[in-house]
Amino acid sequence: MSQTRRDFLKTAVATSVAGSIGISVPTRALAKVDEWQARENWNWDKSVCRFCGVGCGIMIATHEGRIVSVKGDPESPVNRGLNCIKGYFNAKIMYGEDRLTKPLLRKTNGVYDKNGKFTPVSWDEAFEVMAAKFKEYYSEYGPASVSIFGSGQYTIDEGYAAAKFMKAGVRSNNIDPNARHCMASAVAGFIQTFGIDEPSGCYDDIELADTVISWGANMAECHPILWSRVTDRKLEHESMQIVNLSTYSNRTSDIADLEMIFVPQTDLAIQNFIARYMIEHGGVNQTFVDTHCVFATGPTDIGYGLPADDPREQGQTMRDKAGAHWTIPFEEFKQRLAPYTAKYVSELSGVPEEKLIALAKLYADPKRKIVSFWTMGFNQHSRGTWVNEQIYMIHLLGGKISTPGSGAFSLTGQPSACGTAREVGVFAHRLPSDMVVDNPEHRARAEKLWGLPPKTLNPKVGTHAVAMVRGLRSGDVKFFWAMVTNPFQDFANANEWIHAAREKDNFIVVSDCYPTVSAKLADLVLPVAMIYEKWGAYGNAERRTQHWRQQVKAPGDAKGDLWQILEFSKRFTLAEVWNEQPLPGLVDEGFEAGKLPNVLADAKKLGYAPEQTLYEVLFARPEYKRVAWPDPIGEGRPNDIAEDFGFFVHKALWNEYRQFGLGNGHDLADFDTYHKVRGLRWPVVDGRETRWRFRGGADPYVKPGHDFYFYGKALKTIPSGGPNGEKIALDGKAKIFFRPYAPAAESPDAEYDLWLCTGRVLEHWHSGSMTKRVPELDRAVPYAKCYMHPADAEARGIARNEEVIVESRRGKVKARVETQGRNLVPEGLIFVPWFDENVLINKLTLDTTCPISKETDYKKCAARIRKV
Amino acid sequence: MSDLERDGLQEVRGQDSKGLSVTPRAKISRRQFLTGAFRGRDAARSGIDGVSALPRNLALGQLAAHDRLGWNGDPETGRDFSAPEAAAQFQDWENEIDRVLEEMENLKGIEDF
Repeated sequence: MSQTRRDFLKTAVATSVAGSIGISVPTRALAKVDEWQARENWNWDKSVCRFCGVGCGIMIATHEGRIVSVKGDPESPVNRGLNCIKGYFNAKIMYGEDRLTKPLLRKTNGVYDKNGKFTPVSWDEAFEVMAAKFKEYYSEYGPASVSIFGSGQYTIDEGYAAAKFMKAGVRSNNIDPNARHCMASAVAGFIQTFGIDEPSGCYDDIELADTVISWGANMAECHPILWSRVTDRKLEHESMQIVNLSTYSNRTSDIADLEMIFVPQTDLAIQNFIARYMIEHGGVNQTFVDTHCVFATGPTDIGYGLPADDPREQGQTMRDKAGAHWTIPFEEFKQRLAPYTAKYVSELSGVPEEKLIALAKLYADPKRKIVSFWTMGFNQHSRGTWVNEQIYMIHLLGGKISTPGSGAFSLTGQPSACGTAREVGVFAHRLPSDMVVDNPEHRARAEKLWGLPPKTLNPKVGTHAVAMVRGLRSGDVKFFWAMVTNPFQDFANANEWIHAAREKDNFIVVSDCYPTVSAKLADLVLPVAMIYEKWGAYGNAERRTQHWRQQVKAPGDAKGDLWQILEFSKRFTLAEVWNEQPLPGLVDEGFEAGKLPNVLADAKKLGYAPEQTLYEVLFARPEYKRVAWPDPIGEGRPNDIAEDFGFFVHKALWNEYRQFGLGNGHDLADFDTYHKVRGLRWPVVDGRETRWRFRGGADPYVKPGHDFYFYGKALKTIPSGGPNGEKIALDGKAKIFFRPYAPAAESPDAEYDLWLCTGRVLEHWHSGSMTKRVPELDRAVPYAKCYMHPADAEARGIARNEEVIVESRRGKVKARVETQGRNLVPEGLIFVPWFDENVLINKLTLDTTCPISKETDYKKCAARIRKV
Repeated sequence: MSDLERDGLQEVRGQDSKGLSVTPRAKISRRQFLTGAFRGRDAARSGIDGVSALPRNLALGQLAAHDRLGWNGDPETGRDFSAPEAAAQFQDWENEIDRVLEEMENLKGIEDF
């Protein structure tokens, strides 16, 4: 039978995807698909995958108000028609049998009771109780007592509205996303090194590189479509080299030329060896370094982000100034690298010297184009910011950055960790477009764009995610609203926060689509509309912003997160929140200590009345309401929020939000354009996207005549020569940091003798709340296993598949042992994925964080295993 | 039940030698994987029914114009693998509230054992 090229490729892709979950593709199924494709009355529309940060385009077919098919978008430059196995089930996640469709409130005898049973209530009753509890705490304890825990899965407009409600409305900076657990270290690394967030390169680098090095990123499972591009490049170019650095062998090693399994935490030492080798062997691009870089370092006694009374924090004198840094001369930089010889680093890391040298040679080769990828192995690290900075150190030394085929690329875990959490500024310290709350000029700009009276915005950085749940435990945080995330399964040291949620005086709201761990622990559960039941936009890891339209209506009374925020904002008047507010610990120029000022008089000058609601002032502004619905861009598509509020809310929010980025290095296109293209990589200037930032000719922000220009403005005036040196400006320069190796916060010992590492599997997304409800995915990986070395199992008398107790100093779970399969761990280490709520592995993990980024280290703690 | 299930997915899963089944990863070495992959590439280069892989043009805007898998060449269409949602049984959510409430009280995995 003759086979066309198209048939050949389709079969190959189908087989590849099916093979990834260990299933065969019946030929009858493929024939059936053809039959479905033939349906002419299906209505296809472009959309975006809602899982990882790759940002694949998908096509969705609807028929009679239901989604009937999903396929890869052949027009998407990201995935060109390919999907991973989760991608194909994007719509099926919405159709689980136990979908939440009504608000549920804990009640006894018909009234709210924290110890009561969940009872279906109306939206009016839900918001009535929710607002009453919010105001009860707010009026007594002030803005620091309320919080929102958001998400890198918020759509851009949801994150923008939530941040605006909190920061401009109730004047609290206590909003932080689950992206804090995911890429906060990457953000801190970018800001400290370049003065601006997000990668300089793009996915196009894969097809131009001749070396790909994956550090602490199992791309084959966690970023499968990008890994298919890397694989494709490998198969086309014999000279292509792939290196996988990890603490255990995984699927990414399958096509690696060099696999390096290192002792947890020693990646910092390996990086320093590479830099030392480059300097010794002529691997430094001296012209690039002299022209575009400075050398820097900072304090070392910065602690582990644990509470101040933890023994590991004693003597850590710079734990509150962990991000401080200063320039150093090259000779000092070189001197500090001197201890990191191949012999020393080999002994520390367990990696043979010849492998270390082979890796260093790749980076030191001036002719080699290298892309380094990383995700959680770097980011979830008690020195996460440092290890991010050190990968830039290597690339900057070699001049291998912002260049087609060469770059250091921080992958993201979530679909809009970049587009929403970072660019919108859904962090406790941020405002949109890389601005921060503790900068008076930034606050003034935000107040102007948001139409706020001066000093409405709170200058005190809010509580980051880990501090938020610690606040639940201490009683400082009283109101906690989780949206698009599952915090009580996500947070390390979960037992602590589970007990705090149920046993302390507080009010927990969870907006969710299914009965998740977090929903079950809530006082009020709000049912949400899911991804294709609303309009939205995401921003992926390569700065590509992508919009989609609502395809179908949500079931029952479920409503989108944006709808919930806007409705909740109707419950607050300016008189309640823009009067004087207590803010313990506030010390800031222009503010009375411990207080946010009453701004109602200035609000009146702007035309606002005290009895107006936050909804009217923040979201239903006259210019918003002029953005009409219906709109030609939405022809034939539902728009529940526009119908409910009477104007095109998403477009109005976008029009306002993009003002922050224009001329500020974060330029975005207009709303309609995004609905006509498959995304654009910002900055988008004069209708053109940017593939390589900081590079002359490729980035419109690089001044004419410059080959490179690192124009980021943050942290660009720093002391020179030492912490107390004269401050100097570093316009246009990037920083090459020296950071020393530092041991982990908790290592195996006689009592708890194993390293515990957690992570993802291909088939499930995050806590499994959606993918576990897709029968095909659930069958493929029905439960989390404890991957263990056969020798470790044998030494304990444990057989493969035997159920054991895995425990740490903080908690325990039961799991089945796996000594084979996709993850082959070294002796002394176990790996347990975190998607399974019945194997709630985060009861065991330690809530240590990088002291700079405040991101948790989920990759290292001490555990032990015993028989049941 | 989805179409994939109706097609006897479970039954076919065990039949490694039939149809388009894929050898489990545990049974294939990296060398075997690459050998197979390179064989496919070589076949593509020799031209089978129009399958081709030509040298890349690395000029910007002309990136690898003839890559295999259609990476920068012809994009794939969506017949690849599945559209299982076509067979999804849509829930009668209004009648599921009792089940949801029951599940909300299920604290397996949350409470310590």
